[in-house]
Amino acid sequence: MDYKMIEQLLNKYWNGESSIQDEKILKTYFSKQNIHPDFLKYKPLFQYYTLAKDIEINDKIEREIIHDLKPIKGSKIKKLKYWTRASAAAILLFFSVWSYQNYSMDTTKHIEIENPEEAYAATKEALLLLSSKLNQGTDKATKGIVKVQDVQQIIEN
Amino acid sequence: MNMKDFTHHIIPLKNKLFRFALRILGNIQEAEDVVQEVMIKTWEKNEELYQVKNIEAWCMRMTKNLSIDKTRSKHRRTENIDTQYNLNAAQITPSKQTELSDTFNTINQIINSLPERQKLIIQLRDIEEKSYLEIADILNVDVNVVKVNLFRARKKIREKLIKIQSYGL
Repeated sequence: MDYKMIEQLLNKYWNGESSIQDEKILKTYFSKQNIHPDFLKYKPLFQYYTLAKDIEINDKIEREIIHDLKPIKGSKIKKLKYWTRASAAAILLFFSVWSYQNYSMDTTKHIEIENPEEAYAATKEALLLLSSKLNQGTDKATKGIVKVQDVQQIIEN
Repeated sequence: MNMKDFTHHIIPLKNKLFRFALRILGNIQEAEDVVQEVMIKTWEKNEELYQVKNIEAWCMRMTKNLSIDKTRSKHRRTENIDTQYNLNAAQITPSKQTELSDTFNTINQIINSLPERQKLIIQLRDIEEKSYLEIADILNVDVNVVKVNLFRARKKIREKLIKIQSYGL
């Protein structure tokens, strides 16, 4: 390899301006036999870099790692067999149907009025109650909007 | 991440992580322990890994942190540093062992005598051939910090190398 080129690459290297590619060329150069006497003093360093990259962990460590991973492979749910999952689903379904039925029986009021006039009055009363509640909601919303507008004005002024 | 992904993407990092841990700890046994710990923790964080942009850098960071924790541990074994280096050399080149181990150990000692940050930057750049950006990411520092420290580290290595050579290596 060209003397001038290696000299330039070494200068770049010591100045911290060399690219990874430049450094690779230097490593290759110093791994060869015929190195110019001027550069011989740097041979151990670049040789070291190449050798140090070959250090490998003991093979048994990989086997140990893989062995240690197995117990936590996948989540616990996956490990359950199909029949366990199926029975769990069946129990859940049964329970939810049962609780739904209980719930609807407890809360729904069954009022039976035989007289049509009374029935009409009761319905009217119920509808009035509903509409008054709805109006309360709109009132509150309007008040809210007015307040927001006030605040906006204050901000704008 | 399933077992297949793990063996394809994480397990192959074992040597790189080992060398990095070894640089910090200077002890093979401890470095092996750290690599095992990193691998198992990575496996346990399984779901989080999909959000990690650079898994290798992420593993390297964890290796660094766990190794540094170990150096601070009170129960640290203090072994003869030279014998460890000989072991390293024996692992790499069984045939040329005697020929190379002396020079190898000398350079190893020069690098290990550098300040922590410079030592790690030399490991990541000149040995592992990582870009400045990757190194900055692993060490959690600015790219300029990497450049400045690399420059200083190489300068010190060169000075020591020339000093040693003038007495004969």
